[in-house]
Amino acid sequence: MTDRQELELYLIFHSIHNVMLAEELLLKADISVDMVPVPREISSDCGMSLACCLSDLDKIRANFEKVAFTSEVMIYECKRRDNKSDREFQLLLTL
Amino acid sequence: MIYLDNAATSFPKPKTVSAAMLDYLENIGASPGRSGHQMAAAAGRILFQTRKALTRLFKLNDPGRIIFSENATAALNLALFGLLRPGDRVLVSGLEHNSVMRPLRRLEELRQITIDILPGTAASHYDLKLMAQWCEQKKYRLAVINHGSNVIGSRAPLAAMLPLLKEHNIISVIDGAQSAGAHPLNLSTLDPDIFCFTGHKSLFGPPGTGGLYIKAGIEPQPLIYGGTGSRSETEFQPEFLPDRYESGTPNTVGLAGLKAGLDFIEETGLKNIIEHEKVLAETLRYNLREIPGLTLYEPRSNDEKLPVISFTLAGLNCSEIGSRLDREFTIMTRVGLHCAPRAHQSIGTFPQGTVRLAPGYFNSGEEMAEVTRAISIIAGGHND
Repeated sequence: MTDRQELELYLIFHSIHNVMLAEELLLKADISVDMVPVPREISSDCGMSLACCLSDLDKIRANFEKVAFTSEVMIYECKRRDNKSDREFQLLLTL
Repeated sequence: MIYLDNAATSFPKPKTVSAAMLDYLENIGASPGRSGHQMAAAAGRILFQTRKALTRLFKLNDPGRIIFSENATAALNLALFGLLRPGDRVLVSGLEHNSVMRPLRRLEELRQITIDILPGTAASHYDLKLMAQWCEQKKYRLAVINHGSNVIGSRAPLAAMLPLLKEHNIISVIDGAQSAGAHPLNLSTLDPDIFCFTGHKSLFGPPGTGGLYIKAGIEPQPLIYGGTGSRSETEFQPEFLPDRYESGTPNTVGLAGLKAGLDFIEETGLKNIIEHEKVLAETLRYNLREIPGLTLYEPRSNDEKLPVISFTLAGLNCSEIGSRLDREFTIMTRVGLHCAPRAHQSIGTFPQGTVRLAPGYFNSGEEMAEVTRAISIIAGGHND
């Protein structure tokens, strides 16, 4: 598994089914993913999201587009301040 | 003991089914899609993998369009109550189960729908010529087709019926309770709008599992509203599948068992399972025809068959036959109307019913010989 510190991208889906579908798709494409709780800063939801590396953003996007992934995917970047517990999330794109 | 009630529910299940259910209860336990921890993720994976296995079995592409319900009855209720509007006209086959007829009769009262029942011909339980005429003349909104009869084992010719419905923009709802896992299905090719199935018959899952496939563009109103683990910030039901139709904590333990049942089918080979059951059913049909006084109710000459056999014996009522098979020979059958009075009316056995024999994958040829011998003795033909 990738070092958690490197996981700066958070992929948010509408349902756990799509989280699993996306996890399978990205793992097949050799992209590191970690299934983690949806960060509270992004959503009040109680489900799961996929954490990935920022450097994989283009590959992630290409893979979703290649299979015409039917569900909406929101991709956030997590920026950490000097104080590691202080995080800020910025919506990079919606697929 | 010989269990011949597989059309009610299959028994025994593969050992891996109870093992998977125990594994869920002892080692996973959590609620899928409700929390962010790894046990919840493991539970979510069970549902995901079960949907994928069903997608493979039914030759579909999108596992997200497989909706779980507690059985085929619940799935059919969702389709019928969720789609039918006041004044709609509905076409059904003459072999429908009460899981279809009772919701429709209730909708007749509630929404003043009209129900037309398709008769058969001398050669088939499905009069396709008349069906074509009716589809042309009458403005049907929806048709329900019982794919496999739970009374006589006839299989509806979906490949001929579905294009007719499509041609006239009639929504097709298939009751696959008896056919899923008992017949190779390619739902991508057949292209029904809704296909309802149960998990506990030929898919080898436990009771309490089942569901339906809903084609893109078909949008029944949900029957149950509530928590889905998704979009928790809103008090309105999500629009996306499968969540739209799956409110409340799902039967993950049952679905773990169903997944193991589906794995068993993949490992054994659906073709091998069907072939074995077909040989058993044909052996029984062949043997039973030789017994004096026995009337066999069979699919008509043009109809395909599933391993479900109904018979009566002259001078004996079916409950007496069933009781003697059970008590004297430990052979488990099901007698009566099989929750399908409409089908019994169609074959002329209403209200007395029939004795039903439904062999399954775990039955043997020797058992079929024993069953034949027992029925012969009850019929008074042989006493060996």
